[in-house]
Amino acid sequence: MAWIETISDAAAEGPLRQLFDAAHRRAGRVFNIVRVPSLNPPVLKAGIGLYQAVMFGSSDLSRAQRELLAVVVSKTNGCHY
Amino acid sequence: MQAHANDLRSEVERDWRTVMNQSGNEDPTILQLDAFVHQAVRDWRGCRLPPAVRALVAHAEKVTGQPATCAAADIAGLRHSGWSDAAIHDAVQVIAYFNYINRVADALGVEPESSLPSWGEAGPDSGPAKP
Repeated sequence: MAWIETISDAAAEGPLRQLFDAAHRRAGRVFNIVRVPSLNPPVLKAGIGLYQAVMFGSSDLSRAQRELLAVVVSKTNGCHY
Repeated sequence: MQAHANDLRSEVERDWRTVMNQSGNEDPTILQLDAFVHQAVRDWRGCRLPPAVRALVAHAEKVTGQPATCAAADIAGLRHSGWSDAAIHDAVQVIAYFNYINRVADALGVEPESSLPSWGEAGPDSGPAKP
């Protein structure tokens, strides 16, 4: 559990329900990092949009290169997630 | 880090040539792919990276740890390594995004995904450790 309230799949309604349904279609579940902004669905939606554009959009960088950068940044920050 | 180490493992399997400096013509084995990701998690400097990728990853560390020290010379260096301005821009967006989301995760107590394997702890010849 995160340190703030989050909304379960069962309790999600409206725009949040749509975002969670899309997460299930993409990944088969709602990852914890996707659930944590659930109290503010517009921020969740914008965050997912940025993530998908940055990590999956057309780029001169390969997917593997982008994931390597993600690992190195997270390691440098000491972020386990 | 762990969630994207898992994604890195998936991506190197399909596209190892863009990040691995593999000697010879043969595809890396499963164990070599696993070892690459374990090493990237422990210390990327120990990975056999193409020189241009090494320069980009070093820049990621600088932007993350000392962003105010970044200078035009850093960008010139990346261009010299062969990166286009579009690639440099996209890399900085990746770096900045993960600096953002790492802080969201750590400040709000986002728990690791228990269903994902753990990378970086096992030996270089081991597969992913189960949580």
